[in-house]
Amino acid sequence: MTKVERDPSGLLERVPELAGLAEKHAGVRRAIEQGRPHAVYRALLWLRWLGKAGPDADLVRQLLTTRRLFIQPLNGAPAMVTYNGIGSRAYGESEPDGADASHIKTLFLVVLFVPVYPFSAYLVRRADRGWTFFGRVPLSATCYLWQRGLALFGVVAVLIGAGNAVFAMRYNTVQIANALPLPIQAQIGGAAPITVASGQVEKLRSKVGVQDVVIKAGARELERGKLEVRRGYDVNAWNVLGAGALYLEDVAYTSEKSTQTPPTHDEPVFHCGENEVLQDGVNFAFTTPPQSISMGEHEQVAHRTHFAMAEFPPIFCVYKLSTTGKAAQAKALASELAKATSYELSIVQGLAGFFGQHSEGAFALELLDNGRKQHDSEIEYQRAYQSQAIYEGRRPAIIEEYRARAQAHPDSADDAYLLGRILSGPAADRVVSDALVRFPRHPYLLRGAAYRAFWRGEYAEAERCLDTLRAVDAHAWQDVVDLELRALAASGKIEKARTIANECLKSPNLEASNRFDTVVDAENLARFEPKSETSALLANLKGDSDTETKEIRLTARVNACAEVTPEELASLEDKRLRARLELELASRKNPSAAFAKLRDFDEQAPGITTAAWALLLSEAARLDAQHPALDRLLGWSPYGRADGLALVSYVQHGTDSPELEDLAPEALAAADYVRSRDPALSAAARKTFRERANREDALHGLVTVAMNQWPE
Amino acid sequence: MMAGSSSAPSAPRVALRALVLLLLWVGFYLLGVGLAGALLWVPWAQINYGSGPDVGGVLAATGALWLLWGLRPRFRRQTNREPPLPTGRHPKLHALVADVARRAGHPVPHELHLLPEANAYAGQRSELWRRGKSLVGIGLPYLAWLDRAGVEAIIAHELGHHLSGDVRLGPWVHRTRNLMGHTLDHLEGSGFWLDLPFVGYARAFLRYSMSVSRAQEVAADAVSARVAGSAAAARALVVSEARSAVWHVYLRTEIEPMLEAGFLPQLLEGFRHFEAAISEHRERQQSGPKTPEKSSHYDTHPTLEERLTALGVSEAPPSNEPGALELLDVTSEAEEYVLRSMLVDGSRPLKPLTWEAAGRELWLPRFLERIRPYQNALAKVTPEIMPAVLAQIDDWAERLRSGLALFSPEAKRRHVLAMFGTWYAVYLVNLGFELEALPGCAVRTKRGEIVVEPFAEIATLSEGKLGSDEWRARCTEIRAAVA
Repeated sequence: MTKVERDPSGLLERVPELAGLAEKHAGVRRAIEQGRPHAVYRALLWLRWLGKAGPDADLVRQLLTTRRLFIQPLNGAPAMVTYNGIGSRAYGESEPDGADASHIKTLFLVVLFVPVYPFSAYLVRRADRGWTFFGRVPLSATCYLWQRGLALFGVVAVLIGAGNAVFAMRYNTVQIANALPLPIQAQIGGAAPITVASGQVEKLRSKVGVQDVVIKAGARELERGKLEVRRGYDVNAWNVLGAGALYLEDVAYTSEKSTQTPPTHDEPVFHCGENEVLQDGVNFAFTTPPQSISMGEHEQVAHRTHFAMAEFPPIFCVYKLSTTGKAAQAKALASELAKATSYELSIVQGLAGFFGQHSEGAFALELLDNGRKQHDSEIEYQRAYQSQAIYEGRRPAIIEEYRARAQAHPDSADDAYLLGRILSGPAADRVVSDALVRFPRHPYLLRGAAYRAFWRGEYAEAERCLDTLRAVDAHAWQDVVDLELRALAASGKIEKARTIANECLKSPNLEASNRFDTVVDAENLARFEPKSETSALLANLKGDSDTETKEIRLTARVNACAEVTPEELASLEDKRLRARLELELASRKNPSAAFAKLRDFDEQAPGITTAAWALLLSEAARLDAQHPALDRLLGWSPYGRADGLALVSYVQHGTDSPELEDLAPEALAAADYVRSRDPALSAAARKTFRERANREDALHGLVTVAMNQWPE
Repeated sequence: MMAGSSSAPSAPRVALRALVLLLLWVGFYLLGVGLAGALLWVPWAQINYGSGPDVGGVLAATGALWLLWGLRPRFRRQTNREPPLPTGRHPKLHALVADVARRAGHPVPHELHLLPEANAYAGQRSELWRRGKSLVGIGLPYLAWLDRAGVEAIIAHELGHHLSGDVRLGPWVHRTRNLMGHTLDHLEGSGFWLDLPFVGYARAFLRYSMSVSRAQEVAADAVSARVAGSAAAARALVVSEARSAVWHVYLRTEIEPMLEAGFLPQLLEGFRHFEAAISEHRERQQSGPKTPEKSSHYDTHPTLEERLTALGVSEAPPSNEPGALELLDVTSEAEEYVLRSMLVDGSRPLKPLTWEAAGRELWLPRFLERIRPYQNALAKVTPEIMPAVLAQIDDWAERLRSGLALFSPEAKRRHVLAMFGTWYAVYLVNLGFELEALPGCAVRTKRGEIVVEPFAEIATLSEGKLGSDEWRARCTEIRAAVA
């Protein structure tokens, strides 16, 4: 029993009953001696809740019902301000006193005028304007618990927030970007490996600092390295093999009220060839930027940054590196890509094609050579290698190689075919026909035999071989349907050709390139008598977007020598495609105009049709051995420079060579037509060349059109 | 070292304590700034290392700002500076101070203050760009209670604080305590327990600074003993301990009402009445032996026993010398001087008033003023019906209430009793009784031989110590006396 020694707040004068309670309960006494009436109230509250009031329970309960007894002076006028429903506001009218009209109001933090957090309670009386505040009184038990609960929540939230911050400081998100056409397993540091599907980006949490990275495809390790995971960075990406087209772009948002023209987007910055990609200050990392954002009232344009992996095939990065002066990196990436994909044919062909067109034929051949070594028994790899080798002018060497191979495997139809397809003339005919006798249902031999027969002008034999091929292997036949349509057209079997073309186009498995060629051929066939309707044909061609569909269909019409208006060409967004189609159209009518158009192009082959290329190369060769267009057209040769030179020699000197047999019939038709334009030749000779050209251009395409339109 | 320390600390030890206090002061700021920094780090880290601040981050930032605002220094300009005692007045006192300073080895203080309180102090008035002025203050009552040696002991004690540099450390410690107090009060207001990390720290600072304070007192006592002798120093301590608190109550309860009402009381004479009355009351109250004072960690001064022990004195020897009022030119002038220093406006006209006239001149008007609002309610009350009235005391509490309802039932009852006591006193005055309110004595009314203590008798009736019959008999006696 200790008496209260001091009462700085004078509470005992207002509530003398507390003196007795204070003697029995130290908490009450301490609060009184500290001059804290609210703490006294809370001490009483706890006495009651904990049942420790004993015989004073009634007194305690009675005191607790009158909070105004525990009034404390105001520290200042309580702020009651709300903005858009958020702020502080007083509610309630408890413990009203009839005599003095005072009551208690509780000041709350409000959100949309809904009380959220009770700050404090006040003894007030209504005045003319608002209230008169007399002092602070304790919160009611409910509000006290409410406040303490929220305060506890706040403290816990701060602790959790601190925990999150510590975690965020020690760990960060690592993104694994896999642009390879196969799934990979990635292990970063000590974390469990994760699988990343082809073309996907997966995220995992990793400790910051330098981490070991191991990338595997199944049991095969693709690469191993170190990734410095930086704290706070938005992007800590591991770009598998550096093949993913990771990019950073600016995203500009324009205010609806803005009068400014939308800003043009800067070119994205690509991170091709880089394994470790670290980037900070990114607003949208591997997430799609929202369509709209909230902007300041006076803000006209807002810029954000977006980081992602473009949905491009991995060859894009090879292209990007190569065209930005990083040829060595491009080749290294290509090698790694080929190796990682186990020299998948489409990858290797794509890479070889790219490097072949960019004066890196030797490297292209090396890729294909490695590919065929990995897939020695697969004929397509051998074909791809042979084509590139011929393109590189190595025909004699590979003839020897494949002759030896055929001799080593006399019972191999594949080896016989592979030898036959690189030979020319009777030698080729003999190898192919002998093998076909032994292997009459071998798809490649049937295909080779059809080519040989067409070359010899034996269209019925070509038709027979191709009909057999269709019966044996419909898929393989689809690759040469163009040859069959030409053979049938040359034989005058137009209806059969049309029927086959239509049936072929109905096949759901028809590859896009074959479908395009078939539509072009069908368009050409439609001009034969009796003419047929063509409007439905173009419906077979579809791109990934409306724009692409429009481009494909317009290209098909140009390739099929259909009439195209200048407005249609002008509507194309792809300037390079537009220039290319203009070159095609010019090559129909006037070679001089076409030569002038060549200035619109750089060294890179624009992808014009074989017929157009052959027409222009032949005409340039005929006009002048030093014609300025010659070199560029030789560089654009779809068959390689050696075959191009063979065509030039044929036009200029009538030289026959094995390389001519590599050329498509319409290329030969172009050469023969151009030869017919030589005024030094006799009329009969010129007529003979024209007739040959007409026959070789069996579908009466560009060469036939040029024959009718070119000026003499 | 703490309150129980019995020997004066050496100078290096005091310096070390001052250094520790300085470190604790720095530590308080470091703790506050560190905690604020830790809280601010949460949203900062969330922004820099995570995906932006969450609820916890926002709350942490708010808490940090709240904390930093609580730590802000608070400056308060001292506006009311008491003027020093002019050197031309009370030259003997000035001479004594100068003599004591010489003997203590300290320059004569720049300012000497004469105070109404039973207190003495040492201080330094700092002035910008100038060396601070040393000042010493001594309360008028000490001159009445102590002989010349005792006064010397008091002055020497305060000069001891100057000598040991306490006057330089003291204000700083005081400001630091204020800072901590304000900070804790501010942080407690957040409701988010932000004050908790500081409570223990502030308590430790308080304990430590108080221990230093107590050590400083012991050191100053040593100077006092060296200058004035241990016996005088001990006597001064004992007298101060025994009478200062009483004097304080006397000032608050008797002097201040007089001054408020514009009267000039007889200061020292009134205290003699007051002390005598209190002593009588104390003697009636105290039955057992006096329990020794307990020391506390939060005391600014050691206990008397500890201080006497430090002086090497078991009990203060009595003095045969008269008080030191002879140091003053004219005592009544000195009284008026210190009384006017208690006023906001020291030049206010004051009317001299004897204590015998205080009941009539001071208290009766006050009593009338007090019951005026309840005249209607009290109109039909007579002393004879008082037992019945008090039986309904809670009803009367409502009738006699004033202002806001801020009182508990018991407080209301006490208010009612005080109000009836007041009413009774006025009632008796109206019957021809004389009101007497001597210092320290109960309010009395007298008429001839009949003496009535209205407040005490109402309280006795309320407590049931006086029965209704006895009360009515008393009423009859009073009425008979005035008939």
